[in-house]
Amino acid sequence: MDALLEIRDLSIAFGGLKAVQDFSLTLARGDLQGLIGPNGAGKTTVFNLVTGVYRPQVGTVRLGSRVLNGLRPHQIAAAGVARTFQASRLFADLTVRDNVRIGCQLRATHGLWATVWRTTRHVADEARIRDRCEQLLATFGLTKRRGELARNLPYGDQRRLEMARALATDPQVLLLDEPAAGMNPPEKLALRELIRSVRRQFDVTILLIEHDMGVVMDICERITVLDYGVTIAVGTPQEVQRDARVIAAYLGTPETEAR
Amino acid sequence: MRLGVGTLLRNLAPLVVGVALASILHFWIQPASGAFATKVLVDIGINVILAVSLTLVNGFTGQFSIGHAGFMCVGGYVAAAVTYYGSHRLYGDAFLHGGVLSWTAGQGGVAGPLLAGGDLLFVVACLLGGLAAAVAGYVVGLPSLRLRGDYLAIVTLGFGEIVRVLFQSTQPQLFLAGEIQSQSTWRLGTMLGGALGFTSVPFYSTLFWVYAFVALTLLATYRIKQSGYGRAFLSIREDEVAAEAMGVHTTRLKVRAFVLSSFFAGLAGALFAHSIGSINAGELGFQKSFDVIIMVVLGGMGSISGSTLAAIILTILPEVLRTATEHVNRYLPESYALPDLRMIIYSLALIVMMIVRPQGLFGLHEIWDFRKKARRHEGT
Ligand SMILES: Nc1ncnc2c1ncn2[C@@H]1O[C@H](COP(=O)(O)OP(=O)(O)OP(=O)(O)O)[C@@H](O)[C@H]1O
Ligand SMILES: [Mg+2]
Repeated sequence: MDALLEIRDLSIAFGGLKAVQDFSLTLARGDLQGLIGPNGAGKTTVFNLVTGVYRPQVGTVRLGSRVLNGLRPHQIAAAGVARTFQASRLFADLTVRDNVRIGCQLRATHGLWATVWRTTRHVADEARIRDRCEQLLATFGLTKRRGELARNLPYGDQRRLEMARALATDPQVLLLDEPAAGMNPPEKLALRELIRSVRRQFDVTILLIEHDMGVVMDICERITVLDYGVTIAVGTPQEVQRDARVIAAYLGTPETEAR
Repeated sequence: MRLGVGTLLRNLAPLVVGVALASILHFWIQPASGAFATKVLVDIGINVILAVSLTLVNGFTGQFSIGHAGFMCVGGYVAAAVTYYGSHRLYGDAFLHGGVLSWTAGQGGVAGPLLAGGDLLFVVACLLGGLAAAVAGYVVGLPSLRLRGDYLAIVTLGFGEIVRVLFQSTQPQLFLAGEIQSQSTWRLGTMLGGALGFTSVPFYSTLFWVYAFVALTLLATYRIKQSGYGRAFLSIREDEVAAEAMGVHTTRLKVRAFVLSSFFAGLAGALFAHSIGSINAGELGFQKSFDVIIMVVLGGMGSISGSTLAAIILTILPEVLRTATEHVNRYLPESYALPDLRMIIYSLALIVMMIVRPQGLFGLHEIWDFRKKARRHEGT
């Protein structure tokens, strides 16, 4: 299997705090991997480094043969890496449909002039965007809510809209930051199936941050565990669950007691 | 590019309707309404262009520009100089050389053909004024929009002042045909009247031209709002980090919105100069920018129809207030006379608005969106 997203030795410190240290991870095309760790471990920071929100002080990120670090976030999105946000960053005062259509816009080709004169190109582009948007809304069960403002959606729908919007950019790699947060148990159960089917249907490679172990252990093929910015374990769900350092990191105290 | 005749017609239909309405105003309403009403109608048109263009920046992209009058000024001076000196070069004087569309009833003289050379000169002058303002917008916007936060507000405020000082320190305007003929075009460009302002601008801004340009502005901004561009602008205002993550080139789009907005402000300035026959940077300071901001804030940040409505109301209101105050003052002893109430009422309206409806009358929505929503509620 060839590496699609290759993260190598990524590090960043905020002041004295080493938020992420020497983080490496390789996603092959079609992978569904997990990134877990206790609160403040640096998981979201990894996403921010990969998507250009933060610039890594050390390390490289490659998508295929293209080096991503140093690019602006919109360029990284255009290159094919999309993400969702942990704390919802939907366009709150826009409709569900417009949230998704903004994502679709990335692959549109017409300019401002075409927009003002409504050229055939513009009309065709907008029609294509509309179709794609409807398809995404259907996949995520949001069709009925398409006209509502994003801020008025129930929490679970907001999480799904985040995913739909990210997929609208037609990515190769999808980074999901705690999609299950705030969902109720039935929704979480449905989410497992949804993520699996998204991978199939949209042919994306997924890296998932999630605190809900039920979701992570069920759907991820490989898991990387972070603690205080350091990678403490990598392996299959079974391996990771049995790993002493992982257990210590999650339970907190045993490691210190052992010393 | 393939472009069928049908598509072309459909695309231009709104503009055709706009021009038709402008013609009705010009040929039927204007002669019947008298000079004062005509002046108010022209002012309304110009303010609509200003408010709608500012909505592009302050409403759509959520940036805060407070120097709109500066761009208006740039457009006004450039256009005024082009028509005034251009007219001298072409015709040997700076009178009207347009056809009936540029000819206001009751002004005297004879109506010419439908279109004449002067009309072309005027339209070109307006477009050049808009372009000059757009260039100024690019120069101001590019550095300040790269930075986050409220730099734009500070920079545009400064820009307004710089524009004022620059135009007020230009050379005196030339009035004698002989002198004008002997100057080079570049020299003429520096002779913009200094502190006295640029005067004797021919009165080309009839209701027809003003409302034809209003139609163009409304059509362009509305189509932008309804398109991917508009949504991308709005996404910047909603959440810049998320917009970037969705592939929106936020800096570039902010600059584009700003340049576009400046273009229309320059256009409004051009129409303004040709409506009162002069332009003076000293009179288009922060106060004017503030007036436009109020229109946008009241009408709804991002609502084209809301900004339009607010521009209409806030152009008529001061006139009504002025008449009312004069009327009341006639019965009051001089020491108790009411001052100009305009600013007081504006400030109060703004405060009430900020408390009751901070998103403005219509927020992001267009007026007809609410009717649609009401209908949907009835349906269910
Ligand atoms: N911009 C920043 N400036 C300073 N410190 C930061 C910044 N971003 C993150 N940090 C710090 O880096 C550490 C890692 O944060 P991060 O958000 O990546 O954790 P996380 O693993 O996503 O945690 P959670 O599970 O709570 O979301 C935290 O201590 C956080 O306070
Ligand atoms: Mg996090």
